[in-house]
Amino acid sequence: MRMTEEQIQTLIDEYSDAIFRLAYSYLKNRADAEDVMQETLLKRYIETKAFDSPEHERCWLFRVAANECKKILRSPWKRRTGPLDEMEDVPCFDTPAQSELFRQVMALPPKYRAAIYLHYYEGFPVRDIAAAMNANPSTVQTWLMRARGQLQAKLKEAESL
Amino acid sequence: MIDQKLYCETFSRLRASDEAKKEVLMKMQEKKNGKSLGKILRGTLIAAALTVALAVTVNAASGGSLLDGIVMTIVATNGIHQTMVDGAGNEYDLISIGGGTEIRDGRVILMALGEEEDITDALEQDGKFTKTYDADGMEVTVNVTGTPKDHEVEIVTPNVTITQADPSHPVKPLPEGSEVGFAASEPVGCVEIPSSELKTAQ
Repeated sequence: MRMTEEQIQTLIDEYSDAIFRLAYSYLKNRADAEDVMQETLLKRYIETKAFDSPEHERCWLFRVAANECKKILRSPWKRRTGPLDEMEDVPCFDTPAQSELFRQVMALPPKYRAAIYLHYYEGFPVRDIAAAMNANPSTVQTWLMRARGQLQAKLKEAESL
Repeated sequence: MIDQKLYCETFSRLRASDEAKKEVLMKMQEKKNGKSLGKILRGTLIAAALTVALAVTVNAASGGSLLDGIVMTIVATNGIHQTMVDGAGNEYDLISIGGGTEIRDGRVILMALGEEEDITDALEQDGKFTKTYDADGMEVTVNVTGTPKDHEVEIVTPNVTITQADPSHPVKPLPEGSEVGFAASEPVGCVEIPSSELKTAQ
């Protein structure tokens, strides 16, 4: 059954920024992240299956978004483009700490950034991150552990400068 | 450890633009208020004769229209070409792209345009498999991404992209006499064919 206008608006209000953040975490590019957000919401719109719960729907959305991001990362065009295309429109931050954290997080590998976002921002347990990112839970554990370690080292290094 | 509060404060600054949100809202409304097809099916439309649930996106060179509620009957098959006739008697020349994957004895077999290939190793090693076929001069690329157990198949032609919705049901061309239901009001250039709308004449 098609969504009502109200349901469409609710879907956009609830998920557009969250999906955008996940996509930006993967892709480091605003335009690509917005494309992923739109594609994911459109896929949700045409999806006819019933979800067991809002959590089920949320996991489905993040999984679709993660797959879209991986497609972009795998595309020949993306592989050819370099860092000049990335990190456009970086938001303004209130404090140097925020700015530094953002810079260092975005310097991590894409899958680490995405796992961190899902865990620390969206509050996903490892099991759900693994489902969203199509990975084993133990692999996700490792990503999170390595990401924390690398981030801590980089932030300490930046602090000491 | 990561300072979660600082992380959330920092990343809450990332927001999709209002323009992007408006755009997706408009796209959904376009889908909702989709117009009927009519115009698009002049000339050759490339599509697929399907037996299973598919989502077909038609990047219509015409500027796009829809296949809405149309049921076409396959009246002739010549190799990969199929002639279909709609209820109004209009005739369309379509290229039937049978494609998709099937699991046989734990191996993933890719089928497209009459060819079969074991792609299990490629999926295990690279998480993807890509092959380009020549369909009577038309380039057809098949992309498979994911794992042997969980993967997605995408068939890309200059005009159509087909996504195999359910890898356990490979896409096979329908025989003559079959009816293909094109349903759902979709936006300009986008067609969805739910399995419930696909039927084969008895």
